[in-house]
Amino acid sequence: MKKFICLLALAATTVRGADSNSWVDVRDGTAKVSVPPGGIIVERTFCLPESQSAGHWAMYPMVKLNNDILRGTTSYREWLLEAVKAGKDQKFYVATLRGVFPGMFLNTGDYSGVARLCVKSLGYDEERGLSYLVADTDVDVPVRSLLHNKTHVNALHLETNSHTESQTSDILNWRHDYSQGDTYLYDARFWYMSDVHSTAGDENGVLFAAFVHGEVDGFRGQVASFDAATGQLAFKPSANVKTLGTGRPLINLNPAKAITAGTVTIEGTGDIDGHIRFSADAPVGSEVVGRYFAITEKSECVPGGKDIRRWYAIASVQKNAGGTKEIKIIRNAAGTKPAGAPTLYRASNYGKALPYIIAPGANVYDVSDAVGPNAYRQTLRLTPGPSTNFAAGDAIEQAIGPDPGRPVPFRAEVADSVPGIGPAPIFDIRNSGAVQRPSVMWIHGGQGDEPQNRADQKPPWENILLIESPSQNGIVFSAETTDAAILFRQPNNRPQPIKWLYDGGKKTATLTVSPTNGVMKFDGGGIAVLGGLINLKGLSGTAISAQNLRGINVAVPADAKEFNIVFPKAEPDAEYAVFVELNWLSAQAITEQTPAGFRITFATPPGKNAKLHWIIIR
Amino acid sequence: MNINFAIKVAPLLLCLVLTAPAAELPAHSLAEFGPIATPAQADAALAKAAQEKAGLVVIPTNAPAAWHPQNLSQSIWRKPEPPAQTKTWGVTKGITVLDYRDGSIRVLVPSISGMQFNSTPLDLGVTHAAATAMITLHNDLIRGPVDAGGIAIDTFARTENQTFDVLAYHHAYSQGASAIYDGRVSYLGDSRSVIYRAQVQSEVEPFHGRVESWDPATQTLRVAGAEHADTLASGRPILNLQPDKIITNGLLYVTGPGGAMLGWGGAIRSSNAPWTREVVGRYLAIDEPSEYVPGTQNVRRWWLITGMAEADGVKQLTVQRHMWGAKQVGSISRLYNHRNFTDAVSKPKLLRYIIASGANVMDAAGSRLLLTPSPHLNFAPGDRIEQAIGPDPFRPIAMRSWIWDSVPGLIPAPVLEAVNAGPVSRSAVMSVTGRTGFGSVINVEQLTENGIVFGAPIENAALLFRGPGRIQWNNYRSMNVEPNGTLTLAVTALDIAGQGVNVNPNIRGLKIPVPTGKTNVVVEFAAPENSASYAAMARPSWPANHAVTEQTREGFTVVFDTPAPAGATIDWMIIR
Repeated sequence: MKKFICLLALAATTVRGADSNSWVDVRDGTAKVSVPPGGIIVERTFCLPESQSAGHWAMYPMVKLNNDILRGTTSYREWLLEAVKAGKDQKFYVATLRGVFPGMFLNTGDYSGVARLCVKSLGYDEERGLSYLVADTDVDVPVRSLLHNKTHVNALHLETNSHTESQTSDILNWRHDYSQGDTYLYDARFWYMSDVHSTAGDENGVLFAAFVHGEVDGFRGQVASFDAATGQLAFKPSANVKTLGTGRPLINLNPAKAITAGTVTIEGTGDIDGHIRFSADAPVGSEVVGRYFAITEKSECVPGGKDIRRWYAIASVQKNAGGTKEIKIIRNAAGTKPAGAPTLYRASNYGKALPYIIAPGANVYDVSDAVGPNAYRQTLRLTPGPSTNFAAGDAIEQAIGPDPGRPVPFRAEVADSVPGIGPAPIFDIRNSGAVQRPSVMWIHGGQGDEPQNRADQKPPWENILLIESPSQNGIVFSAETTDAAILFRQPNNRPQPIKWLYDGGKKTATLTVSPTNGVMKFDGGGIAVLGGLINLKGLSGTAISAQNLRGINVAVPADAKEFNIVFPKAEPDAEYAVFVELNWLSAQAITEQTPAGFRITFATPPGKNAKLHWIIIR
Repeated sequence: MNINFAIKVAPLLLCLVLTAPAAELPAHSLAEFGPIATPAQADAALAKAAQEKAGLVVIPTNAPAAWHPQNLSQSIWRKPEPPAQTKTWGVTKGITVLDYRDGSIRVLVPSISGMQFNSTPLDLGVTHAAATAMITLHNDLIRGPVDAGGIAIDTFARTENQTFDVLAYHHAYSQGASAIYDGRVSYLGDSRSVIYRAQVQSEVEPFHGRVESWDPATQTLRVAGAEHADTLASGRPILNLQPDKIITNGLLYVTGPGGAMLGWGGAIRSSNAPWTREVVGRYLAIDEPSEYVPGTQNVRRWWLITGMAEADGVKQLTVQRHMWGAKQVGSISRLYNHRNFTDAVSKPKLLRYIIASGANVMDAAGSRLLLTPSPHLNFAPGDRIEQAIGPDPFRPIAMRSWIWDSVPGLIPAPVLEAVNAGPVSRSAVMSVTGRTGFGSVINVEQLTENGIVFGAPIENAALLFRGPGRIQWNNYRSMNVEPNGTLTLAVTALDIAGQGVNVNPNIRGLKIPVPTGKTNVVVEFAAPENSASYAAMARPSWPANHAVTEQTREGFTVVFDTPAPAGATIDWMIIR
């Protein structure tokens, strides 16, 4: 019976039709389960007998990991307060002993010259009011050196190295809900009593962290041999073998086999339309179809690497009148497309004559003898193509993906069919605690954000919030905002405009407030104020503000032949138009204008109760 | 880490143990290492199994039912031996323990290397969109479940560490759509599901109890009458709250640090407290109810005192706060109640305080606490003690995304993407609720081409303020709509870039006919003004002196010294 169970287990973990089983290796006490490509399957049918019920508010996970962390771990990174000489039982003065214990590993220095200390004991220097730890050190440790050690004690560690095409969900959690009940597909709860943040270098507690790294330093090496009949290429590696993958071309970098003469001009806007036009002296003919094209201009090399280029397969060549040539390249965006231009890093490089390279190469379709258990074979298998003229000694590299569909850290796609009762937003954020949080969403970055310092000379973000789905309201403020609903801090004295496109998107209306003088400027088709303008300080047709607007029912003495109006606040100069209206019949003229006011002369002096109105416009 | 699961690999482990010759496998019954009739015997047998590096150990079903084994078989080896400076190190062998006494398989893994699942390389053709997960959980809930999830992780961290509970690294060297976490709900009932939930909870009821014994030579503290002992941990101080051992005389005041994160520039001062240099190394808490941790009776925040100075009869403390390293700072920048800050030293806001001795816990495992050496440690049996909560938590962040792209790519790839592919509307993409609130909802602190873009039709409003809401530029320039509907621009001036202003119809009248021969005309507004206080201007279309008379809310009269000719009109304008 036991053997039968064992066989069942083995069968259940065997891929159908494959000669591959699971095995368990516990030789060092750690259970290492090696699963076949089909993996292992755990099944549960939760179906209690009739008339029975699960317990009160019970929880029945299929798999439970209990992780108790009690002794031996640390998170410490502090600066040494005083230099320490090499020797035994040396005192290392630090600002805090929080996170230090006798017997603990401690590294001195940071990314180089690290010495491994063992903390012998802890102490407090009462005279100096400082804490210290005691350890032996082989080397002098300078003041301000970092002392550090941090331990990861994860519950679950999943690491995937994907060297072949696949469509994958690393953690796939599908729930088919045919009944009711509150359900969380991923429920992360963080109870804390400590400061969470321990010492220098912490990134804080995070419930969901999504980090995306573009890897750019690919495989490089030399051809050891190449069999064109089988497509097998043996290589001698020089760098980054672990990054070999299928579906990325192996480029032959032998200079004798490359075309670089002349220049290329890219005309386009970043999408797949456009032109790749070679100068008349570029020796580009139909034989380059199937080879790979890259721009070698420095500013178009991939940042973060040395001369790393983006290579595109050439799909076709066309000769133009006048001797220039154009090629189409293969780009992959929802299918393979012949494209007229690549997306350049710098918009300023469009239309310029740029250096280029065309090199032979071929797609890699099998890396299983180059990475993994058979890596020692150092062999790749290449897709047949017109430009696989590899020979022993040729320098080679595997190109990076030139058009990555960059990973999206969070996607929510909803396909509801029934409206339901309760509101169900995509992001439901609530502060139920006793203290304020600084922000719901914080978009920030490090140094080097100025466009001129960046490879693409663009800001890090094109848009912060892009709404391309119809909605009833865009952004709604339904609760009080104690300061501003929308606050433009206008750092670096740059205006932060609000813009509306109109006239079918051909024109732009812009509202700004000057960061220097506070003038609000609306540049569009005019302003309609249906409810009227109030508290208007003045009217100006120029860039200089008027300080005065009008006078109402200004009393004029009886029999006056002239009358002086003195502004409540002086104008910057006397450049303003004046309109005056009297309440008696008389010709009148403005006979003097100054920044402080103006003088009116009457042809017919007024009687009693005379009044006038005035308006000025700059 | 215990794994209590019924995966098929566990029967596989069991069969290996129970069917194969023991000499060929590193698998043993616990009973091979001694009697297991009592929990103490079972512990001893397990310790012996660990000592003998027994590999896989299975607990027989006749082991004591009440016995809860712990797998403490693994440690770190170092060369040379501690406490010499370490040159090389590694992980010792441990054992894996299988316990299936209650019918489920409970796997007690070695504490450092845990349990590993490794896939074999996929070197065979996969046909037709196959799914090849390493581990698949099928969970069919048919009758009886209350909470029957797939995977549950419960971590209790009682020592410092830097940890990712679920760590998923994906290195993609080829192509293909990949999702690190793919959560899908298809529903037919009145579902109320959340695909990703992040809940952050301050725990604020810390350990407190009394001293049972204190050994200053070994810095060992034993406690009695403990409450919340499950929250004990290293890296938080134990405080001696015995009333006759604390300092509370006098009052202090805290000057505001002016927005500084750590409290540089502020100060903690007193003119009448009996502070001396003796307070350095002790802990300070503000003892005002308005500064107690909300939701508690009197849980306080304690800071280590690192300095005391006196000048002109005023004493001043510095405290230690942790912000990317331990910092000595002059103030507490985040009092709960901002009215507790002193704005003017001439009118100090006096606060009660407590200064207590205490020491950091460096080891909370086992039945005693080991404390870090500190001054003034005067624990005695019966003393009231408590372990402080972290006074300056860097509060957990619900979601973070940091990006390091180097290649522009063809397709837009936002950080947060929401698509409604269904036929019914959703209430919101992002909903922010709660009683306490946020400093800001969206805080953009990195250069961007556009902040918020409305690229699709909006049926009602792009920005909707249901109540007062101000749009503000810099600190002082703003635009808002008052409760009476008035748009107020608090700006230096409004520059309309040479364009016109269209205001209400009473602003002017154009070509108002004046009957032939008349020497006056009455102008009637389209809607009454609020009062007759306005400036009115008129211009007749024929040569004449004129005057504005009889202004009312409804209009005004213009009189002329020359009668109107045929076809005469006037233009008028008013400004309030």
